[in-house]
Amino acid sequence: MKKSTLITKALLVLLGLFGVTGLLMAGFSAWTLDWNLTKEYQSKGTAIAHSIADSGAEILIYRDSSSIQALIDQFLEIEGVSYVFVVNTEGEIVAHTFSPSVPIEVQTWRGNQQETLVQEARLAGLGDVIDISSPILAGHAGVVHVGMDRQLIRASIWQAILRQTSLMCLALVACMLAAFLLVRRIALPLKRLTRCAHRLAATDSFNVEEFELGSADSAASSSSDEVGQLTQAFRHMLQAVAARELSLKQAEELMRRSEEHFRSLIENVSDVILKLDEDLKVRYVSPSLERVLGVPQAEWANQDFCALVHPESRELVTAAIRDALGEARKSFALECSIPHRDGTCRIMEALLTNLLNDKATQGVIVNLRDVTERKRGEEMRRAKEAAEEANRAKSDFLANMSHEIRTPMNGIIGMTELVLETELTTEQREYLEIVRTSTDALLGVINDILDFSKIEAGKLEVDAIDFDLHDCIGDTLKPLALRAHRKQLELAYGIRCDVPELLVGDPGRLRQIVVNLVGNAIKFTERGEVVVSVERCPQTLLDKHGLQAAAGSANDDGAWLHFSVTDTGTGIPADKLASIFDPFTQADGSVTRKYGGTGLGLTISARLVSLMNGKTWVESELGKGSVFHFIARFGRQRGSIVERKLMKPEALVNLPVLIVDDNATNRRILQELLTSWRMRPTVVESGPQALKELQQAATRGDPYLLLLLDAMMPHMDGFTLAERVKQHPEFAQAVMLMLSSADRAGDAARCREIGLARYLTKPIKPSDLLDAILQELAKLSEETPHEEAPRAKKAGESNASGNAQESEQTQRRFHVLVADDNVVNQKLANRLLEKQGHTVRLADNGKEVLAMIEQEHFDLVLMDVQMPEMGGFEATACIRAKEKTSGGRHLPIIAVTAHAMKGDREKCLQAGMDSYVSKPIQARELARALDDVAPFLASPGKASAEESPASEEASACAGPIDLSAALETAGGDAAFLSELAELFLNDCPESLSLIRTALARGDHDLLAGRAHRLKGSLAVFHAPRAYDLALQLETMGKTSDLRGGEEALAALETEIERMRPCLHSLTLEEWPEGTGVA
Amino acid sequence: MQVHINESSPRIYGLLALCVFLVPAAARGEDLVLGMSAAFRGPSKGLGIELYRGAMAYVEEVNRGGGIHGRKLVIKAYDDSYNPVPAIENTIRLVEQDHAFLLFGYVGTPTVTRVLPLTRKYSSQSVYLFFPFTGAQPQRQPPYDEFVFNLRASYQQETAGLVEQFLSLGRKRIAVFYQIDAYGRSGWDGVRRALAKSGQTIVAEATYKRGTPFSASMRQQVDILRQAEPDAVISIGAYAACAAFVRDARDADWNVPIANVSFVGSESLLKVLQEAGKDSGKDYTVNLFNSQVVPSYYNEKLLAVRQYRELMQRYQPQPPAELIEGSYQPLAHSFVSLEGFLDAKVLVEILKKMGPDPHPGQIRSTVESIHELDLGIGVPVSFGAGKHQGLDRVYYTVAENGRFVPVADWKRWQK
Repeated sequence: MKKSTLITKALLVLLGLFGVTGLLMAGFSAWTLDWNLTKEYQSKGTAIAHSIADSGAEILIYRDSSSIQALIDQFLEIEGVSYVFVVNTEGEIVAHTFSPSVPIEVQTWRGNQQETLVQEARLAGLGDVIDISSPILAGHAGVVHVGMDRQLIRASIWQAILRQTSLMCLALVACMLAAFLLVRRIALPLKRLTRCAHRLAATDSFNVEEFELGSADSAASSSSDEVGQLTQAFRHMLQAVAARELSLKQAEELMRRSEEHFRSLIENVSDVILKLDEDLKVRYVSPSLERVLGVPQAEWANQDFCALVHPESRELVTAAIRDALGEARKSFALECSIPHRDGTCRIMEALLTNLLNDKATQGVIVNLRDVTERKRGEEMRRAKEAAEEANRAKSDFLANMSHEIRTPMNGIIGMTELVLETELTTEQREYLEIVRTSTDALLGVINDILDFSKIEAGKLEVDAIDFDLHDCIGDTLKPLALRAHRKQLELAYGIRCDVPELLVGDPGRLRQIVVNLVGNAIKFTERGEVVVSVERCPQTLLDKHGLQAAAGSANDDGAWLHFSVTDTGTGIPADKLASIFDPFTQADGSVTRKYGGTGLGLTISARLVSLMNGKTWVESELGKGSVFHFIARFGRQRGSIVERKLMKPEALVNLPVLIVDDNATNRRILQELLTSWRMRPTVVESGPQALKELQQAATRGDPYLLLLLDAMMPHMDGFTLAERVKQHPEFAQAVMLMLSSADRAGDAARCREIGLARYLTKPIKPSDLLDAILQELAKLSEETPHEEAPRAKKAGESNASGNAQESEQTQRRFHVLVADDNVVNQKLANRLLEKQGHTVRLADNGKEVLAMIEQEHFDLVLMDVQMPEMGGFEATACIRAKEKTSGGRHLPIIAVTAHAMKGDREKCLQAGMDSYVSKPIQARELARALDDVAPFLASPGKASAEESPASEEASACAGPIDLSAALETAGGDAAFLSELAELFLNDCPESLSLIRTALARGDHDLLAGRAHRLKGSLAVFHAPRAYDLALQLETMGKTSDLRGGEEALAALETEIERMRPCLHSLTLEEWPEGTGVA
Repeated sequence: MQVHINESSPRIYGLLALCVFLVPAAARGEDLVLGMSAAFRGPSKGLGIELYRGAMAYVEEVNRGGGIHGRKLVIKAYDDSYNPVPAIENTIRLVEQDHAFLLFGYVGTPTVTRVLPLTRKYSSQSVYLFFPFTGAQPQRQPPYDEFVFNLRASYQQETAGLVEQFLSLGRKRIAVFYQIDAYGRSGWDGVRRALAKSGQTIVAEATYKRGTPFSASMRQQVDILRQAEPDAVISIGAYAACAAFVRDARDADWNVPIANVSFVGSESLLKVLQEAGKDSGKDYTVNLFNSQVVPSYYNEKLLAVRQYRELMQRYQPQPPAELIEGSYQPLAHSFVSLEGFLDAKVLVEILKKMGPDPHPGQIRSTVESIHELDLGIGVPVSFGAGKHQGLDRVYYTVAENGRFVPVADWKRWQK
């Protein structure tokens, strides 16, 4: 039973009010009454005393005491009179009203004889009294005492208070009743409202109708007093709250989520968040503490933060924090180490935010982050960077090596080739051939080593570009064929019909693999043949080599191809098979001595195959030969599943063809190829058989329109056979194509003599063969339109000389600008280009290039990347920018770089160059680059490759200069070389004096530039010692460390002085036989 | 002898009817109305009632004998319950309404003392107060002595006599127990004066308030007095309180002689004490003295006593029914009724002397002319100018065998 507190309170207040009022009033009344009654009693008593005194005088004097007793007795009846007594002049009490006896105190009272006295006393048996004494007859007849009863006063006071209190109580009851009713009238609706409010608080979802304020409607809300208004207001509030509740709930939910979010952020943050008070005591620490430092949260509570820090860094940290707080810095960071629970010490990065003045926080917020791992990581990164730096240095070293090796190689090879083109004695030619072979081998070795290094360094990447597999294999094998044919080896290749031609992959690397494997095969095969075959890799093979997984997904747009290179060589002993692909390993140590080579070829190949996700292995039987296999996966070009070139023109369908070859492999390949072209090949293995077959065919009335003849066949070679065929009129109309394995001088001439249409060198690219067939058949029928044979035409004009230029590259005359700061390089490039019929202008740096192309029209620019004043990249950027704004034609630019690394090529292309050649510039490389830029070359003009009538052997000049190497660099042109030497000798003093000046002045840049230039020239002449010294000086300039510069310069001068006679001999002395042709 | 009111009611009513009838007659001068105010109720009611009965015995005899000169005597009685104020009111009423010929038979000192001024006020009408039942001094000395005629000896005489007796017995240490009012004061004063004569003072005094009933404790008073080790205690009070005092004293094994004065009402005192004694098994009447102003009603040698006994026996007078409360058992004989009887006898003689047409103005001279009147009590009654007290004789009685008998041998209480 809960009373309305309002009522209780109101009643309590009333009660209290009344109580206090009652008490006050009672007190006041008592006091007043006491005062008044006392006064009244006093006056009453006085009056009585006076009255007795007045009337008693006579009695006292003349009559007995009973009369007096009678007199005083009557006054006893007056209210308030306690006693009366009379004392006579002798002091005797002659009459009194005391019972049972006169109190002792009273017996001593005498009273004043003169005047009325009022005194208060307490008497035994009577209590408090007011005694009024009045003299009778001025004291001559005694004194009368009247005692007024004070207790009566008290009693009447009590009575009055009682009455008053009763009245008050009545009033209180009335008030309470009134208050109760009034408050109830307020409280009841309020109660109802409270109930509603309670339910409101208790319920989650509510609607206004639930709270039936309906009852309140009638009672409270109808009344217009404050309660009614309150109820109305409450109703409105309820509605408002209901509306607000919803949004509040949503907001609350958002808040809760946000709070949860932030809490989980705080709790799960990997940092430890602390709050310190101004004494740096920990006031809060986030739960992550346990995670980060393994310390329970509670352990840090109220700890001095500085005490938690590792003693080693404590003082520092304390001082740092004090300083920072003293300087009132807002936030600051420091590093400290804090012991972890597991005993280790963690390096923590502390970010302190001073919020002491922030009223909400009033502390220092510390964000502790465990940076131990990061620190470790930083160390590791530094180590890694150092390692990478070392690696880069290695790479740079390799690049430099490559450059420094290639430059002289350039000279040697170039010069050798040039010399070989001059007229030479047999002996000289023989020597030079050896030189060339050696240099080729050397270059191969170097390339191998570089490649291997790159692979090892992981720098070698596999491209994914579109290429034609047939072309690629064919082009690759052609140069190898030369080597094979020299050894009287058949080199054949066959690509199975089901092998897609148009693939995506890295043709360059594929070529490299094939070259290596085939080269290897040729090398180790004394007689017999080397056959390359390509087929789609059968599933069984894939399974065998664990390539299944990759194959599965590659079925749709990829192709696993199985390459095999079969030779009939020495074979590999079984115990060496396992290590055949290991670096620097060959089947037999003696083999290395016998055949040369680094033995890296196979290794590189195997690695490259691995890079293509493939697999390499070998099968071999000692004495019978080996088969090298590899499987590699290639993408297929989209939308070109259809054979691009090897379409089967209607003209070829069912065309009877006779293939004459003594080599079974070749026969098989050719037969397969022609069959795939829907021709009707017939195969014979010798000349007589061919004639016989021709005869029979003619008799059958189905004459062969096409004859494919192998040039080299026992008993009757191809040429003889051709002559025989020509002599037979019935066969004469047949087109004969000569296929030659060996590239022998005079073969071409013989072909022309005999009147053979074509001379094709084996291994024959199917496309070449098809072109040739189509062209010849077209010539034959005259009216047949040439469907597509641009290359075939060229092929027809290709000279059959022994030059290695087998490419059907269109020789055009270009106007070329060669930019190189190095005079020797300028000369070398100039010579090479002029030899190919191009006209050349020279520039020393990028600025000159820019100036010259403004004045003259150039077909292309050969741009050295590194030049003083303006480098190749910069110049290219300028040219491209200009082209862009002026909208002029695209000027092809071929970069010339000493760097052979892969990144360089991309850098060049990025800079806007179109192709690049690496130093030393080799004729073949240059031709390739020209091919690259061919699309941009506007005015093609035929340039017949000028043949160097003869090559001269450079006389060896022992000592500071490697003359033969220099000659090679100069493309074998001795005259050119002497020219270079002269230029160098003229240029040299200036360079040296400039270097001296630079050293004296401490001009690093000048030193570096001049030394570099000098170094380049020296490289051409293959003067290793001088080169080293120049390099030394250049390095000094670059590193700004000129110590030992003078000594180096002196040594360089000495060395150059040493070179001088040799160089002079080049310029002045006549070459042993004839002079170089410019 | 017990009177049953029920049995005698026809007679009582007859008397009453007679009374009522007689009042107008008196007004016509036919009846002689005697105005009386006394205690017919309260603790002292025995005094009023017995005094009235004694007087009425004689008045009855006179009236039966044809009245006085043919005029009947009527006692118009009112109750004052022994309180002064009703006594005053009664007096005024008697004089002004009842036209009383004279005032007669008043009981008590405090009442009478207060009525005295009225007699003075009505002096022009010659309203005299005859024979009040009190021994107090005021009505015996100026200025009121001329309006009052007393028959009995004064308290001073009584107390002085007692003091003399005790002193003679060697009991010099006298204590006083008294009613604290004019009556008690009179007795107290008497004792004081008597003792003063032989150079003694009251050794102790204790008071009680008028109207104190028997049931009240008097232990305090007993203790106060006992402390002083008195040889005797003289008690001036009404019978109820005095009996209570005696009871408490005896209960405290204090057997000191206690002497009361005439006013106490000896029979009532004895009766109460005997009744109390029956309950407690104690004899409270030992060493209990009482001074009297009339002879013992056992002394039948006296003519008046024989007459008194005869008339009381004959008329069995009853108190006025309208005045009493409850039942009252009248005493067959008592000192008080004897005094009333004697009072009436003297008054009748006086009225007779006044002739057939009495006039109030004659009263004083008539009374003062009375000399040596023999009432039949062994001593004559004499009045005179300046002598308004008829008797001076005091009789000493002691309680013995349930009644107060004259003290035969004082030596018994010799100290």
